[in-house]
Amino acid sequence: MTDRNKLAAEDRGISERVPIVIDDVKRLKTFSMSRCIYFSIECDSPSPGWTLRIRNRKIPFLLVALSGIILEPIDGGLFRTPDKLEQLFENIEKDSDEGIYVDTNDLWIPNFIFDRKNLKPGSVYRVAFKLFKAAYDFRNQILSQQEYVGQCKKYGWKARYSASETKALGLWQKKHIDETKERHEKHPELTLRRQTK
Amino acid sequence: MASLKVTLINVGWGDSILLESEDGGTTHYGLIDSNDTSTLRSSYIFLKRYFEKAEIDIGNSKPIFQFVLLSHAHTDHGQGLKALMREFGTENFWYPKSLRQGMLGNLLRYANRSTNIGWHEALHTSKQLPNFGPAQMSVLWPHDNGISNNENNNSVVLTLRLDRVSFIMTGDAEKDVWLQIAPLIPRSTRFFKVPHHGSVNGTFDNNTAVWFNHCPRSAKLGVSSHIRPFEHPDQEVIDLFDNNNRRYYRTDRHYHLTFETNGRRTNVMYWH
Repeated sequence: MTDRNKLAAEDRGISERVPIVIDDVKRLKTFSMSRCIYFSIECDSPSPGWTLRIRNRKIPFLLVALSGIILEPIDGGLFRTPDKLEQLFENIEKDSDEGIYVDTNDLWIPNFIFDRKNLKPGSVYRVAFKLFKAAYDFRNQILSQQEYVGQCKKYGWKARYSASETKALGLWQKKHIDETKERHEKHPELTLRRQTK
Repeated sequence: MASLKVTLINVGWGDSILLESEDGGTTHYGLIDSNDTSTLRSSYIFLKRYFEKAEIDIGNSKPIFQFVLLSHAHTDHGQGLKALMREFGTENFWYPKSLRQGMLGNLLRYANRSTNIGWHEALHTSKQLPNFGPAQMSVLWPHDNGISNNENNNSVVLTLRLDRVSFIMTGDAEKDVWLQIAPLIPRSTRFFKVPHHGSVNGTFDNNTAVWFNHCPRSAKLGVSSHIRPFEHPDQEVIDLFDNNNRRYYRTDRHYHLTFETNGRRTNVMYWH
């Protein structure tokens, strides 16, 4: 796709930009959707130094209670490696207990949006903004299931599987599991005792 | 007098359970799961008001929780826990081993770095848990010897016992788990959290109600139930309870449910 076409697609909300992770796949008679996770930036205490840019005007403000959806790494592109994901966390959560942090939220997406082959927990897909918005509205009870599924079918939205990001997410999580194990090896005195039989 | 209390917080879809034990004027708090999103913060608001009512100065009392338990790595149980641990702090963060990537990585990364969490580790039956105030805790499931591809079957099944009364917290453990551990349900069980929101998979193996047949008749049943996006509990499970004259309570009808015991008698309170 050319850059111009990409921009046009983004403007129309049909460019698949929002990363989501499959959490659980439901295949029931009246409900065939997958619960998906997305990463967001949250802020729970006032944070200075922010500027809102609207119609060529810059408005400084004190940020509080932000919730922003994460779309891409700091240097753009995709989260193709675990380092790119970790870099995002490190930059946002410089101090783990400061006001801004990364968290996860969920939404439901109809299974027919996905390709069958890769529809399984842990798979990373990218979806267009318009689909994300409809899913968000369904999650927050603004759209009924019928309205939501109807929109998905009407507009023919599809999710794009992202193999490299799926792999990177798995490696990133493994890194933190390994880090946990190292802590336990360093501090065996803090671990729970084994049951004696 | 010693007491043990469990409150199933109505969070819509998902679970969030506040545990309290009291002995000699000291109250201990534990939390199992949350389902808070950025916009729907049911367990956060409940806990905030609850601790406010208990006149707990959160800023000076952190960590509030003796433990926070992620029953299993599904997002309808784990999302919101990071924000809650940031706000209230916990001495321990526990979870099962899991292959599920995404939310758990976020929580582990935070646990490895934050001063709001004292210690964290995975639970299984070989681990000896500390007392929860005057109550004893133990893990009925999972074993240490494997991780299930069905994340529900990695759910930590936790028992709490105060004197002659046991409470069982079941996560979303399904029939494959109950086929193995149902005979271990203590005869002293007087509260049993119905697994997997009262789904058929959490209760039945073909037509056999696995855990139900081992759960003492005197045990009160609590269901973290929901209407959206689809309804739990399943009608077959409700029919099972009704046909057997079992007392059950559900959060979508009764709102927040509190089960309390002094180690001899039990009591249930609900809002609607």
